Amino acid sequence: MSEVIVVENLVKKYKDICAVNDISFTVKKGEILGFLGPNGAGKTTTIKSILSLLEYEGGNISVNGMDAKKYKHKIMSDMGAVLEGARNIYWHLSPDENINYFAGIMGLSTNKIREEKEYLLKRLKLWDVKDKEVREFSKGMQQKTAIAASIIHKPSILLLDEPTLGLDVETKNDIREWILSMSKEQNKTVLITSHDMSFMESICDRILIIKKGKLLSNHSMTELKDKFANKKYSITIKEKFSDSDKAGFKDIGEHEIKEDQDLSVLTVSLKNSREIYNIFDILKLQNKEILDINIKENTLEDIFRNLTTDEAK
Amino acid sequence: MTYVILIINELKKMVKEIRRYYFEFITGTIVMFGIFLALFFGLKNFGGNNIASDSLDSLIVGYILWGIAMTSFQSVASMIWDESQKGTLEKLYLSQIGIEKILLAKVFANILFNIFFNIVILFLAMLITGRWLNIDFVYFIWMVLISVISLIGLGLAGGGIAIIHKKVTSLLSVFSFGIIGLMALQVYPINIFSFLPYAPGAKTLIGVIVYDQTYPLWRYGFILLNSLVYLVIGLYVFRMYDKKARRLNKLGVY
Repeated sequence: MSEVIVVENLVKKYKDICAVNDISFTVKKGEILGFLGPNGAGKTTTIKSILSLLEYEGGNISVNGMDAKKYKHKIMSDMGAVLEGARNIYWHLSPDENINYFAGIMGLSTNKIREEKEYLLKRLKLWDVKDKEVREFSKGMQQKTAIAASIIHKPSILLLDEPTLGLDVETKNDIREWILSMSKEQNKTVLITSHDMSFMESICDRILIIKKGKLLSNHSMTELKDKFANKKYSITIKEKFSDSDKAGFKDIGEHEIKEDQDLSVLTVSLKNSREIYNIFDILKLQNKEILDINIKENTLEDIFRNLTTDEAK
Repeated sequence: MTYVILIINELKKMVKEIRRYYFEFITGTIVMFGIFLALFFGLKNFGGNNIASDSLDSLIVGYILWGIAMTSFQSVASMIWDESQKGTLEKLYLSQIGIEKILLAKVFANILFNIFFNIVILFLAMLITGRWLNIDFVYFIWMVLISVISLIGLGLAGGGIAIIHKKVTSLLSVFSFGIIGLMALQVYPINIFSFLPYAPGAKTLIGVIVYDQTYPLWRYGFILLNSLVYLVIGLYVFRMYDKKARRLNKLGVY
């Protein structure tokens, strides 16, 4: 896959605060790249820098092989963006009128976009309300209108900043399906930010984790899960552990014991699942009765929490 | 061709807004026309029979020129401010056409609409006052377009300032009413006031329409030059503030 966005050593400062501190990454053609980070991490700043809505102090950005600063207008013909917090559309116009207007802003006449407009309005479930004023809509429908207006010129690169913020489950699913179809069926490249970990986990091919302007991780979803593949085992025992019992677990690595009346729960995080047999051996020696075993795989949220917490430490 | 699409696009949006918010449009029109009638009949009653017919004609033409000038200047600055406030300004930047061309096309559409609107007001004014002016509308429209270019420049500068400083309504009001002063200045023969924006064009238009004067070609060249200088200054100031806004992340933040 060829690289359509290349960010090299990007630095953006606001007075003394470094919003983005020397980050580099690439986005490949057809890839869905997720950008994760806490508030103020530098996600929106990076997206706005790619779109030339911000002037940055250091580094280079290229889109489709063109320098983003030098060809800031030219690169826009192949990019569509929905920005966080901004209204993105006119509330006193209908979806149909908004799409027509923003197509005009891209230099496209109403006749040229007729088919694409109909496809988008139907695909995003806006066809039945296409003539109603957007201000009467729910947040989800407004967001879908913003998406349709942003991609009416058929860009091959989409930048979506928090597209699911404050949306209901159904709308999130609509947007998830639409993003996946854009990438898988039409080979469009998507750079997306969101706080919704399960949403990101379900659509992204690769995840960047950023905190305080620094890039902490840049891995594919598979790599991330392999790298942080620890499974969390919670074993419930039918009695409390004595001090000598607890001493028996000193060699099993990081673990936690919670006791509640006559029950104990031993929680241990293991990279290799075969290591669980060592724990069973210890429990067998201690003659403990196992009531329940719960196994939990690391989610993207766990990985994100681990990475950002480790960085804080 | 791009400009044509952009201008048609903007005109369609304006018509839709007027249809949707017709009450605001009608009351705005009534207020503007009401002020004119108050001025006209006030001057007539105050001056009695001593008021020269040229003065009344000057008032009609002057009021229309002021209306076009004020709405032209305000449409630029207020439009940028309004888009910034709504949060749609950043979206206008996301076009391969470029923000300056988009703004200029939006402004041109606004001015075209304003000229049409003010010509209707002019006809109404002539109908109600019974004073019919002999106006060559082709000349009138071209001259107005050339003259207001200077105010577009000032409007761009005002819009640029608005992106950074946000609340600039007082500044815009001062400029808007300052236009009355510009129109009252003696700019011919050429003196220091001749280099102020809009003044040479407005004076020439009143001379032709009200006093049936004819002017040498150099005067029109001077008006065009005056307008272009202010447009260049306005674009420069806008670019300066636009750069600052992109450095400070102020484009989408109100």
